Amino acid sequence: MNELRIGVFVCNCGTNIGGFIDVPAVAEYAKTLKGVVFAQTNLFSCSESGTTSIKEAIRENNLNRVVVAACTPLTHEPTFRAACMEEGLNQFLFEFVNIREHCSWVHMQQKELATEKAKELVRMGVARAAFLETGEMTDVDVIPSALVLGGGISGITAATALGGIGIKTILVEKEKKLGGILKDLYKLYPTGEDASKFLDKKIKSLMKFKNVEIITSTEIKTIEGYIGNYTVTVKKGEKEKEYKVGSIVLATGAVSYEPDKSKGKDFFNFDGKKIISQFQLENKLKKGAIKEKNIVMILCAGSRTPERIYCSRICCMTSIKNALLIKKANKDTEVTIVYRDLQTYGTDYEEELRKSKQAGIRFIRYNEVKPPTVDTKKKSVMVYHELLGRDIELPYDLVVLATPLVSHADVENISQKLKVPVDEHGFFLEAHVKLRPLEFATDGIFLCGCAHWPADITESISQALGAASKAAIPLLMGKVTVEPIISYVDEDKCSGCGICEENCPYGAIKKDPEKKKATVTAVICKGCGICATNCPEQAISIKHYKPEQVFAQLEAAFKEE
Amino acid sequence: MQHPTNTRTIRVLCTGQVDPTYVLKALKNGADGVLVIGCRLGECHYINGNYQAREKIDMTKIMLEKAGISSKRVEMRFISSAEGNKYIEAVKEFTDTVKSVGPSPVRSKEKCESIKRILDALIAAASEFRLRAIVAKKKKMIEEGNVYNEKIPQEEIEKVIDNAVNTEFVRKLIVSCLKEKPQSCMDIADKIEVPSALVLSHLSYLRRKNIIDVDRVKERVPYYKII
Repeated sequence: MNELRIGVFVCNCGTNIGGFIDVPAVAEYAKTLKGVVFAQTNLFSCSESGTTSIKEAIRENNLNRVVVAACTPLTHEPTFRAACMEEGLNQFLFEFVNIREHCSWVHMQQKELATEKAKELVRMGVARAAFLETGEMTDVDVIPSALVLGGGISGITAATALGGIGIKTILVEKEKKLGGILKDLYKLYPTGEDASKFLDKKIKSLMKFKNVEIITSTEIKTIEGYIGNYTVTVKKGEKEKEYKVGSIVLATGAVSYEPDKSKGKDFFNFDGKKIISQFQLENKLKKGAIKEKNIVMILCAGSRTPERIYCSRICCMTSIKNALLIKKANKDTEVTIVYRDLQTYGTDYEEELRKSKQAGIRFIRYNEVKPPTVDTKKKSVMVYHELLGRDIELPYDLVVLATPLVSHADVENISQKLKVPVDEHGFFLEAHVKLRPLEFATDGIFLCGCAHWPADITESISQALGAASKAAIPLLMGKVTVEPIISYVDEDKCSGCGICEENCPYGAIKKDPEKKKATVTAVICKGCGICATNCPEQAISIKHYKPEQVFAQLEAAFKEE
Repeated sequence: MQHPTNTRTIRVLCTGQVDPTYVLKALKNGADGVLVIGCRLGECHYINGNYQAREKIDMTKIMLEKAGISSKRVEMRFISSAEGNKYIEAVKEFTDTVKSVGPSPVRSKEKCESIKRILDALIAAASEFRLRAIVAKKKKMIEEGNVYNEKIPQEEIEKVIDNAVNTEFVRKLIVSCLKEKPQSCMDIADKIEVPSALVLSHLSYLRRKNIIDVDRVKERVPYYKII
């Protein structure tokens, strides 16, 4: 390529960047950089109008390098690479500068310094862009089988779906039996179906598929590889077995929060007997009719608090459903639901709420500033009634606390094995809520059900079907495209010492017995660069991360133009 | 999740591709410190890149100490991509560490010239076949042994690396001196603050390797030049 014609696009990301960085100033600064012939700001570079304007700019200004200063390549690199390709510009001539995660989000209180930093990050990106080279994608074969982690309703659904598509699937459950939380539930809203009958039906339809192998009492030991080629080692007791799969569905679920009885004092005097959790109530209902005459349910018990800020989503409907069941069994039982807010979205759920009100279930709203208290001596729940402006006393025989779903204790372990992230509450994080739902940033791993976020059965099933479809895509395509970011040997410099071969963790680089030079097998190479840093002759470099590309960034980082 | 604004990030696919020369160049360009962050040990996304990187960064730190530059300016941390809070902590802590060491001498007017020459010599040393080969072979030598199947104890190979760093560094310093102008052994020894006997032995090695030669002999003192 002859003359450098770099275009710089600085994204506001709504207010995510624009609110903390002077975006127009960054774009103006970019115009002063060597090789930059065009610079503009975008409200959302990733939006339809954003990519359209990038494409227009490439066309009108004859750009041969594109630098977008926005968010993380994990979410939007494919978007901008695609925009470049549509204009006939090789996708590897695109450079992504992260001024959101690396700048605006972590320097929210320092607008001026953050703006300066953003300018310098753009300067580094532009310097690197000047040294970028074109590259071509290659196709890699895929092992046409899938792994489903977790045998709750999400895992069962995902495995059934994959089985139905005809994909060889391995379903791994750490407990003895399939079912997860569903095993312990009584009836399901909004259909009123019996949970155990429903589960049986689901398991039966899963069992129909001979191509689905179910292994219970089994845990994952290691997971290695990449999309299309994962090697999974599972452990059942002392026995270990290895599976090769192309994609993975994570459906490890969540657990109901059980307060510590010894600390019950701080938690509505929870004792597990007269003051129980909603989950315990499900068990109690399963065992037989409720004899208590005065029942008070307290919602948001342990959720939407500073410690656990999230809404557990399932508790409102579970409480309403159980209240209705109790009331239906015995209409003289007094059931009161003490709530902070009620989330009964959609037609069916709202209908349940209406029915419960008709059935005579009382609803009393409490304010988070004055949460209800449980007086075990008086055997009553005290609630500050906002409209009456005073405390009211609700006598109880049984208090039911709608505690939230929380993550499993071993979530960190799974997260590290799969190399996928979790949030501060231990729920797994998808790549992008809207653009890449149910996907992880790591290709070939998908997410569904309560492992992601508290979800009810209906939602878990929908998500599981989505995740299974996504997991099936690469398997059915039979191929995945691999980036050409791999090791490259300068044969003139190579002395054939073989140190690269000794150190390559993938066996991707070998000394050619005839040429006596190192040669790379492109498909196996992952581009880790170990060969390059170990090469005594500095004959090896990684395409797209060549020393001159890194040095350009290093120089630009500390030098004013 | 907020951290100081003084970091500039360079993305690499794996710390396994962070060459010592990258770190040294960053310092030469005026970085006060270099923080290399990779996956947690045992959890490398690329199998063992972080262990490999640790060897290289350890060597880089040895090099800096030899050259009289605080090795605190370079640090490696092992943080998973799921541990944003640990990353923030690492950046804060490293910023404090580097602040306690002080601003880079590269940016001080008096020291700039000499420190850049030292860093250039380090970069050249880190590009040298011998040093790179020893570090690359370190793990194998300890775990599997050399070509005679003799396992080399870790302390011993570390001593060898230490020695090699010293030797290569001084040789590169000598070369950088001679690049300026032909000089005598005493001139060089004074300039790089190394005993003249040691400089002389390196000069004879460099001459044998056809890197330098005698420029002239003045009053029975030989002056050397780069070939």
